[in-house]
Amino acid sequence: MDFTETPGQAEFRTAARTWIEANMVNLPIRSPHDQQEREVNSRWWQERMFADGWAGLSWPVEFGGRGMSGTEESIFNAESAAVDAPMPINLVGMNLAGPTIMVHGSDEQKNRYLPLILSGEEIWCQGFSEPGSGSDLASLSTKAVKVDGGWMVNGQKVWTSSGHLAQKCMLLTRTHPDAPKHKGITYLLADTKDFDIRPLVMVNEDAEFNEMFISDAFVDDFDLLGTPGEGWRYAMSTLGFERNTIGFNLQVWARRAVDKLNEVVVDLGLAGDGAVLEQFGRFEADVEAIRVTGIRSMAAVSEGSAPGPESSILKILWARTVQNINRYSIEVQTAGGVLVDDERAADVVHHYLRSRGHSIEGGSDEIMKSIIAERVLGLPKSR
Amino acid sequence: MPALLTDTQQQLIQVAESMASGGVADQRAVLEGREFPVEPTATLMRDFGGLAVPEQMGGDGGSLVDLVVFIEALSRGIVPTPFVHHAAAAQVAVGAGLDISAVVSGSSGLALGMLERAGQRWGEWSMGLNGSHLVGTKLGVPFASTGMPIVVACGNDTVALTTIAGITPRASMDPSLRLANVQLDGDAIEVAAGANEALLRGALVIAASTVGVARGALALGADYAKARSQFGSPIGAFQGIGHMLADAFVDLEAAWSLVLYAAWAQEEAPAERLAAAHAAIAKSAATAIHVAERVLQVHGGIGVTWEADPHLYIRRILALNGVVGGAASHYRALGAARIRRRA
Repeated sequence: MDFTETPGQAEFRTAARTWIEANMVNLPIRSPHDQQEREVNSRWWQERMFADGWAGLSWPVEFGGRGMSGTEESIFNAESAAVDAPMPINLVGMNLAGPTIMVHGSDEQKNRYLPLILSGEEIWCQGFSEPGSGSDLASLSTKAVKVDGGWMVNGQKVWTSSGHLAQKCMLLTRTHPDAPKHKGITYLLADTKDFDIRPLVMVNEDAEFNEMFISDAFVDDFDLLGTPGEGWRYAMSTLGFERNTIGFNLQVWARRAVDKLNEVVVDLGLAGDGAVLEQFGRFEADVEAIRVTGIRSMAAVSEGSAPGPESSILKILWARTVQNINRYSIEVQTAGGVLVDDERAADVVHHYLRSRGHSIEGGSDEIMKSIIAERVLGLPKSR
Repeated sequence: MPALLTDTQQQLIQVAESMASGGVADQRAVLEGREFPVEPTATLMRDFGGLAVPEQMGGDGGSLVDLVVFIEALSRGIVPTPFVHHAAAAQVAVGAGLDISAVVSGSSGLALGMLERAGQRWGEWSMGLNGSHLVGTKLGVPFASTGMPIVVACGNDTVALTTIAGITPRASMDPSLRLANVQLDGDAIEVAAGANEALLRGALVIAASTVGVARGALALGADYAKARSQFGSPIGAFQGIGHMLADAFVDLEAAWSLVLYAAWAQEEAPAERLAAAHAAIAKSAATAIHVAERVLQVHGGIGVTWEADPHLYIRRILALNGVVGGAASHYRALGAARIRRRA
């Protein structure tokens, strides 16, 4: 059991920090105030990362990546979060669509799609959830019918992050309505140009995700992933990749939240208050537990174990911790915490409201707990 | 080297598990007034008394991670043994640089005296040292006997190695973790500075034991949830039960990550020592009791009977938590260590 950063990793950390700091100076919008402004920065950041070889760190070299491990991704993310650097605009493409295509796509699909993901020229979204199919994803009913040269798709998707930015969509459709529900799903790499995409305003007034209404949208045969009817298996790969990234993405945002709380506490003159320090210590322990559990989980993955239920542990810990820190960051300010005409209070409230989604997005806490109950504790299935 | 258990550590776990197998029955026997078992203590003291103690102090030169991994696995069976507290005392000595080569693998082992009064918080060490003369009482010291060597927390951030002058046995809610008030009245064999870090190192060993006990409790709860049926189904199939146990598992993994990291940091990352140890001790103490209480709840009515086992785990965890001063003061110390004030 060794937590030492190797000389190579330490060198990489320095290089990443240097690059991030040098580029932060030229950010198009220095302090973005709303989602549109953040997206401008994110788009620019993706271009810069791609130009200098920081996009796709853990992608294989043959697909334009650097062939590194999740540890380097994690280091880059930590250094980014430390200075509030933007997230690249095509996270869904880089973390989910690209890896899925690498495993299940044809050579033609790899050549056509992978380069445009890293450059950010083609942004991807994930067309999985539907109004009637959330946690029970396999019950999805968006229909695709075989037609000459492709597929005709009708249905509705929801909670589609980046849908309003995307050109391409990982689209799960039902093609075999009479087959058992896990067997009749087909995975398409659809264009979004004919989708009717409507932003959903979230509780914090941002609109990160969308509804997508799909009516007689044609998807070319070229964009069929693998074999019709096998889509559930490919979808599980995509979700596996999503969980894989949890280890190296999540902890930095928890760290950011507790660092912001630190500033609030100090500025309010509460840094000597025993009760506040006790609560702050509790959050520090939680954030540290996420960091270390993430390191252990990445070490297990790089040793060849498939990402298992550990990612569910991390997901639950992360959601709970960030939510608790953000709530406390409001409450510790008492009357001042809710006055959103103050810039910092507004920022804290914005993050708090957004974080309510953390225990729902990417698999709700309840789904994660069922995974742990069944696969780790060996309890019988509850449904 | 990655953040994975080494082969040696995996072997240590296997050995510890085999020694822990009769622990629950032994703990119940002691609770019901039978004699304290000779094993596995005799084997532990003989073969592992110097685990993670440097070779020049008569130990095996292993790492602190080796020790916490061993203790955690051993404790899953709530084994009644002074070994955990001997190992904790030895680590305080190692942390402070007290020479314990003469007592490392002696059969009676070392005792560790930290708190002096009820309600005392971590770090409020006040035992006076007059020259090298120590006089005072330590409260609720595990497995102490007259004439035994003891490592004690003193004021002015010092620790001392001395000999126990006399004891007053106390009745503990976990009689298998024997507690006694310890009277000190004599010259210290050795005195060293740096008490806080050294004592944290010892408390970390106890935290590893706490996590192990909670892990044993969780396994008991999961087994019961599979075996007990209601409404025509094993109760583990109900989310009210399954999710409660899953939550317990999540918290316990978080605590265990912190213990592993803190053990590593004591030897490899000096700047992290203090905060990492406070985090691990606080989280383990707070989590373990929560886990064990949920396991009792899962047992329903049988859980509150004397004959069911959940209370055995609860007794041990609360006793261990008392020894390390409880979760709250460690959280507070962690908060104070981590908060960054503006320059």
